[in-house]
Amino acid sequence: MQTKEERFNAIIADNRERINGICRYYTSNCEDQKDIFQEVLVNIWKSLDSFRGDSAISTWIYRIAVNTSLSFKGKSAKNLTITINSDSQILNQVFYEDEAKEKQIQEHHIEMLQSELNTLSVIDKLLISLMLEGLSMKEIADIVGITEPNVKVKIHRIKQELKSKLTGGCHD
Amino acid sequence: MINISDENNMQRLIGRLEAEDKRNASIFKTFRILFLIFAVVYLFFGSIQFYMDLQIINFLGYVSYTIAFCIAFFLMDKHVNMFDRVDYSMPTLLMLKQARLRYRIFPSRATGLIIAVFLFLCLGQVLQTWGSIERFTYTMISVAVGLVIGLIIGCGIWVIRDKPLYDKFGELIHDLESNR
Repeated sequence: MQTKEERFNAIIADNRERINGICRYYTSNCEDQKDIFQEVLVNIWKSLDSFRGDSAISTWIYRIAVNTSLSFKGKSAKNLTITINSDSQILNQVFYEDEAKEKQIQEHHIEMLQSELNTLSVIDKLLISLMLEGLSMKEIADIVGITEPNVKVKIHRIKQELKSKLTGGCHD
Repeated sequence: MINISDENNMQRLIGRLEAEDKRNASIFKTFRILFLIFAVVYLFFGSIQFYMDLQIINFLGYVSYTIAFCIAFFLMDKHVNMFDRVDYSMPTLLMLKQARLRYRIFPSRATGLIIAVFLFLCLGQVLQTWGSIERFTYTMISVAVGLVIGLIIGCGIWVIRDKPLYDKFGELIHDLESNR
């Protein structure tokens, strides 16, 4: 029989990168990332006794990481922002998921995309950040608590808005 | 990047969390025992006094105090988690709704119980001062003034500290629930 401490250690060891990934999206400040990471650990510890395995452990971890990050930033409601800092290959997923290899996006285009991503609303950034983590629509729906079709509609709409902004409204 | 991987840091964090768990459990246990003792003591002394002077109104005052302490005991026992606990493992939409409830001007179902405790304490005080119009009036004025001042301070704190978060969580919930 595993103790709470052993379970906790095992979960953190397996999911450290997931948690780090989410922390990075929510702030570019290294100190804030450490604080959020620590708070995520605290909340995992507090929720560990009530985890019954109804959802996948990765979904459970993402929920705690996302919710903690949202609440952490929410403590100063005026500064509730999310910073999306990803490399160009990951950012390609936003538009070119089917043709990533063919598309060579220029550096300034990526910068523009990153800048536009950071002008999105908090919820839109939350959805995009989970998409950039490589999660399926169903997983995102499970984490966020809305239906899968609703997630698809929202992400489609965000992509359309971004395309429109980046191409100055000239896209099909 | 994040230095929590360090084994010592992790052990320290776990130690802190375990200590916090124990401390919380101990605080709530102490409060529960305290309220239970108050309830028993008030009922005991009320009964003795009633046996000695047969003043039913006075006895009902003690009973009101006892009820107030019993509700406080129940509050500690069953609703303690509602004060400052948000379950972060819930889906984000549910977590936001739960968090928003915490920032309402009257935060949770526990508020009703807190008001009940307060009212029973007031009722106890009123019944104990029954018969003396001066003491009764003084008690009622004190209670009314206390209530108004408490309400004004509470509302002021809520508007400055909690309302921005309440509104912000409302916006996030609206964004998530909208079909856009």
